Amino acid sequence: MTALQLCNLTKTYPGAPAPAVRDLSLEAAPGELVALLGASGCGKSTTLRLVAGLLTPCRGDVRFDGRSVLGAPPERRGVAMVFQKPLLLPHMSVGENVGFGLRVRGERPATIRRRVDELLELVQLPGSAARRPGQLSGGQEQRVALARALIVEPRVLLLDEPFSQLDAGLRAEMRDLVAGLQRRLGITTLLVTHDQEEALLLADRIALLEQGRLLQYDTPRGLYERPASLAVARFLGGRNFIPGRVAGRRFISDAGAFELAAEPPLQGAAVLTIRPEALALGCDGPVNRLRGTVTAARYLGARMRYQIQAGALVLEALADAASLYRPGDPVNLTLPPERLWVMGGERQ
Amino acid sequence: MRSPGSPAGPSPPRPPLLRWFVLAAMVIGMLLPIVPLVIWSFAFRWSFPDLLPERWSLRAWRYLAAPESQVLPALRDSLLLAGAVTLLATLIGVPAGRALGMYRFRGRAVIEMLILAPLIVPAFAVSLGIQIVFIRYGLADTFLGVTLVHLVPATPYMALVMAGVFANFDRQYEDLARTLGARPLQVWRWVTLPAVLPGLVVGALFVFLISWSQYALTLIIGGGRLVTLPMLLFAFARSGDNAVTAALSLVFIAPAVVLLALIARFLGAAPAAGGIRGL
Repeated sequence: MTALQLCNLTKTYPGAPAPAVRDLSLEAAPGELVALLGASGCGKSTTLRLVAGLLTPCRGDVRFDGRSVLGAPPERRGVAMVFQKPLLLPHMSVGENVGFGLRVRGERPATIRRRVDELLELVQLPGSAARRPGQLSGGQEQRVALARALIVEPRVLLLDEPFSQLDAGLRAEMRDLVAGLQRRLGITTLLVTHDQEEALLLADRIALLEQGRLLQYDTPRGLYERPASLAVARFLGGRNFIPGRVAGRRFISDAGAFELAAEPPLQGAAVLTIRPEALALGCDGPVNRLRGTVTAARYLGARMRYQIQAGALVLEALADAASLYRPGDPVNLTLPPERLWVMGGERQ
Repeated sequence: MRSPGSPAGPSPPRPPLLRWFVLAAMVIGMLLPIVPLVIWSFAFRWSFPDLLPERWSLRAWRYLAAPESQVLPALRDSLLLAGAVTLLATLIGVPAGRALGMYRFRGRAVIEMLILAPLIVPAFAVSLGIQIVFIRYGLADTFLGVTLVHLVPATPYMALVMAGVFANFDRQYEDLARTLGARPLQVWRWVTLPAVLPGLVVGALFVFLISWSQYALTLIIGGGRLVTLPMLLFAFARSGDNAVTAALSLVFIAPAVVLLALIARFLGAAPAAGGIRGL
């Protein structure tokens, strides 16, 4: 088990106006799965390649167990990478593909065969060593790619959007498989993804990146419920933002004052947010009541999504699918103080 | 490979009759010119109205094998020369093709132009200039000098073929192999080479044949010291001995046919630019 540390990592591609990764610092505890989350072009794949040694940082350091690995070429870092595409070598059988990492290390053929069988078992493809890559489905190919990465017993496993090219059902299956194996084998893992659901589901901690900068590094719950900034809240699907200012335990906005559960650490100009699913419709809470009108209703299967106009505020609410508000209906809503979150007012 | 919507399915079968006709036309077109050569090479006397020679003989073939014809040493030198040119053009053309096919860099268009230049400007046109330089450096009239001058028309073909191959090569395969513990040479041996081999073999064949059939450059730079098969062929053709010329022509054609047969299985794969490709 290896602790991974990125220290002030900066990478500017030659000729690029701005760095792809700037001053990125984060650490992963041994056995932890850290997701690098962000839109495309946010520097998450660059970060992965810096850790793998496929790119050299302009500044900063990559450390495994406290020791810099910058001097080591990719083949001696003890990492293994799974890419978006399975990248199985077409001139080799499935077994030869899985055993590739051991073969280039000069392992004995008997050892390689035994390990290949073990790994294929692990990814639930027992007995397929003799098959050709072309005979496998997309999901099977990606599982072979996973086995090929795990066979070298990497200190750090790097996953570069390994599920993005699979269809929904297979993706869920692969996520469960990867999550299970990662926990069981205890490999420190970096997962690159642009899918917040995937990051929330799989990661112990999530590093949210935007334009090469780390916006927030926190547990999934922390990131989702306590976003450090408007950008974080927006990226994770936040919809309801009320500008105003903090005064003690109260938040004062044009739409009125709201009671907070506790005094926030910041005072003055700020943004209040509440998750759409935390808005209570139709019931009168003790505080933070609003009256509004439903302006739009959308059926989402498990939930109903409402747009509610309350004075100058437009709020989005997710409610049980059994609720039956229609556009034009008046509605009482409550913003429970314990579900309110205040962020610093900032650049919009 | 199995991306949805890719036109991977086999094209509808053409009418068999047309296919046979095309195949026959190709075979006849390739083989027909060789038939009179074979007949001539065994003819003793073959005068105009006769369909076949009135007397047969092995004279021409015996003469080719005899030391005074210089054919065997010329054959050896031609093979050595074409082999050396192929080896060097591969060593230069593969990295050059890789750079052109895989990377975008400043000055790429200029370099591409310079590589193409020998194909546009016939090497013969600049060979006199080259000769002056080569005389100064003692390369004129030497095997090395002729090898170098053959590289001028040969290397661009290798570079262009490999540029096409590498343009279709997904570099992530190499990254993947590196992270799995392969050293750069192992990456080349186990990942890159198998992927580009079909294109490389076809490029090498081109280069071999360009050198093999070179006449003017060999004559100018070799100064008549290095005698290759094309030079003998010209000499015999001018002497008017049809039987010997025909036999020598067959010797001249043979390596091309043999090589082509050996690499035939790669030719079909070459347009697909070699094995590994991105989806």
